[in-house]
Order: sequence, then structure tokens, then C-alpha cells
Amino acid sequence: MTILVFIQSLQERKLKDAQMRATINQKLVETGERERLKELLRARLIECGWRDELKAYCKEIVQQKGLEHITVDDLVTEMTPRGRSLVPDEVKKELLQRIRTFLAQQSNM
Amino acid sequence: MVEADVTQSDLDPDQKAVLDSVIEELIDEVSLGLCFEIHRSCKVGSLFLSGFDDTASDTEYAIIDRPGVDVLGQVPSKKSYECVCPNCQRHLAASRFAPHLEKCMGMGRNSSRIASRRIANNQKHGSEESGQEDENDNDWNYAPESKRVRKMKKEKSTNSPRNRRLAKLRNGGSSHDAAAVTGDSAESLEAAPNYEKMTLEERKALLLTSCGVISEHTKRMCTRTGRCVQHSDEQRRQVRQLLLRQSRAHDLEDIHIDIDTFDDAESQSLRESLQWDVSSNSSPADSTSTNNSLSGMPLPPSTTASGHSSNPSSLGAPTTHKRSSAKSSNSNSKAGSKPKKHKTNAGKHSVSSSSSSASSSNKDQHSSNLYDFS
Repeated sequence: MTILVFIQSLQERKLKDAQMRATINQKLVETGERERLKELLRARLIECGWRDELKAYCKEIVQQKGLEHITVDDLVTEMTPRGRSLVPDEVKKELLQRIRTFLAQQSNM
Repeated sequence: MVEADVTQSDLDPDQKAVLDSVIEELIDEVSLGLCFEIHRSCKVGSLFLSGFDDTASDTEYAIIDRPGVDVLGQVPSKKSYECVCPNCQRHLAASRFAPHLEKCMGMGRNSSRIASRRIANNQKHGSEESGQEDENDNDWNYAPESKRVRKMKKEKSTNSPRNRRLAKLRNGGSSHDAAAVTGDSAESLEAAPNYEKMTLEERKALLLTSCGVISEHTKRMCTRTGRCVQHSDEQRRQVRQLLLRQSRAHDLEDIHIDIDTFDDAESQSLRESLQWDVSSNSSPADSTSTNNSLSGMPLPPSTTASGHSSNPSSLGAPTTHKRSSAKSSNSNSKAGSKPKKHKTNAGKHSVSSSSSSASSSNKDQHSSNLYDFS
């Protein structure tokens, strides 16, 4: 019985999360803030050398697999986790802060 | 509900997780973009090329969006294409050049005088017609008819310069040109017969191509060919003697001025202007008087030195030539041997000396009689 309640609450929470996520995403996209965030992130990542690092890693992978046999899927599966881990904390923090202020503005309006 | 959650607190773990996932998404997208980029450069073959950087080229050729400059970041400079009018040396915008030429040179499709006349005519017609059209506005059948009428009127009123020029040439000379050169208004000269205002070359050209006998009634030249059956060879010969000798008289007058009064340097331009002046303004009375009073002729009022000299010859040559021709005409001998010798000088002089062969002083009486009826 308790387990069932727990599962129920877990599902509710998941649902709530999904709802919140959808709402936030919708707002970000609607206002164009998402594009701006992405542009900011790209600029920051280039500034801090993330791009060059990832590119060098990419070249390694390409050399390993061979220039002719490389596919986009290979690159994506190899690079996505690496890309996430390489992002500096300051960049993440800045981004987080920015989203929060944006959401606060939106709710105040 | 959700919004309440969002604004509730910064420490909400749910919200933090959600925002983290959003950020991860963004990071994934950026890295995905990089993946595509690298994959592309792999397939294109530029991945391992040194000095190949897309971002650099992107920034280099990025579109610049700043006020005051174009998309390439250059300050737009105003380019003004200017033309210099060959006639009046004025600087003109290229778009205004062709209209200006028509006005300045007095030719083209609508020279200003003709154009203004036509505009005046059209305005008269136009006001009348517009009144008609307003009255008959509702009448559909009438509309095409009135249009046709207007078209016909337009055709009538259109007085193209080419037609005018052709007509004038047929009537014995382009007085229009001569008037334009001397700066006189064409209207004042149009009353007199046209052939008298022609320059010597023009006369000669005309006489070479046409019969040229001057009619007693219309006082116009015969425009048929040289073998026209209406006039006899004798008549043609008389006309040629008359016209060419008349211009020779002007030439003699020139000589007088040239020798006595002026040094070579400033007489050059003056002589040009005088020649134009005399040859274009001459009347029968003038020509006879100049014939009779060759030696004592006072200097005509000099016009401003005109830039219309069509035959810029060297300074010394024409003067010597004139002196020699003066001698020859005074002595009334061996003038016939002259013409070919001076062909290299201005055509005017050569023609005049050739004409001197045909003329002689004892024919003056006869030719003045010819003038009487013209």
C-alpha cells in the first residue's frame, strides 16, 4: 500500500516536472530568449576554449575511425557526453542565473 | 500553478533539475552544431588543413549592421558621374547631359525652340480636348474617335528637326546651321533666300549635287540633279558664277582687312569670325558694294572671337595664301592655276580660289543683273 502511494507520488512528481519543463521551454521559445541563451552559450564556450578542446577531441576520434568511415552519429554519440562534461561551471552558473531572472521577469509581468 | 512554483524559491530542487536539463539541452544543441560542422569539414576534406577556420571567415565576411556604413562596413561614397558639355564647357550630371545637349547644340530630337513651340501648341489643343473629353466622358463610343483625332493633331503638330533640316537643304541651304554658328537667331534670317547665307563649301556641295538654278518666281533653287531638263546649261553656269563669285568677293574683303590692319596672331580668330559673319549675313547689296569699294572698305564691327572655327589651320599659312590670292585677283590673271595648290588649307580658301577662275571684273555687271531678279 505504501509502495503504491510512493509510486503514485513519484508519477505525480514526474508529471509535474514534465509540465514545468514544457511551460518553461514554451516561454523561452516564445519570447526568443532560448535563441539568445544559445547564442550567449556559444559565445561563452568559444571564449573559454571549450570549442577548440572539443574539436581537438573530435579530430582524434576521426583519426581513430578513419576519415572515410566517420558518420554524424558516431561523432554525436562520442561528443555529447564529452561536451557536457567539458562545459565550465561558471558558464553553467551564468546561464542558470539568466534563466532564473528571465522567469522572474515573466511571472512579474 | 507552475508559475507559482517557478517564482517560489531559487532553492527548489525540482526547478533546479528542470533548469539544469534545459541548460544541458542547450549545451547538447551547441555540441551537435559542432558535430555537424566537423563532420562536414571531414567530408569536404578541410578538417586537417591548417589555417582553415570557419569562425574566422564568418567574422570576416559577416554582414555589418551599423548606421552610416553599408553591409561591407565601408562608408558609402556618393558617386557623381559628370559630363562636360563640349559646346559650353559646363559640368552636368550624366542624367541631364542629353537634354542639355539638345538645348545647347540646338539639335536632337527636340531642340528647345521646337519643343517649346510644340508644348505651347499641345497645351492649347490639350485644353480644348480635355474639355471635349470631359463633356463626352460617359460616351464610350466617342472615346476612341477623339483619341484618333488627337493623334492626328499630334502628328500634324510634330515638327521634327530632321524634316525641317531636309526641307531646308532642298530649298537651298541650311540657314539654320549658319545661324547657329554666328549666334544670330534663325527667325530673322529666314525671310531672305537661304542660299545667300550658305558658306562656300555648302554652296559648292549643293551645286555639285543639284541643278541649282534660281527660279524667278519662287526665288528658290532647283533641287533636281545637274542634268535637269527644265534649265539649260547656260542658266546653271550663270548661277554657279554668281554664287561662287559672290563668295570670292567676301574673300577679297577679308584679304584687305588681313593685310592692312592686323598682325597674324590676333587676326586668325577674327578672320574666322568675320568670314562666318560675312558669308552668313551677306545680301546682294552688300556683295556689290564690297566689290566696288575693295580698297577703301572700313572694318566691320568685329564680333567676339568665336570658338566655332571648324578649320583650325596653322597661323602663318592662311595669311600668305590670302596675300597671294589677293594679288592674283587684282591682276585678273592665272587665277585658274591656283585651286589645287591650296587644297590643304581650309576648304573655304581652296574653294574660293577656284571660284576666282570663273569670275572676272567684266562680268560684275552681268551678275548684278542676275541679282536684281532674285
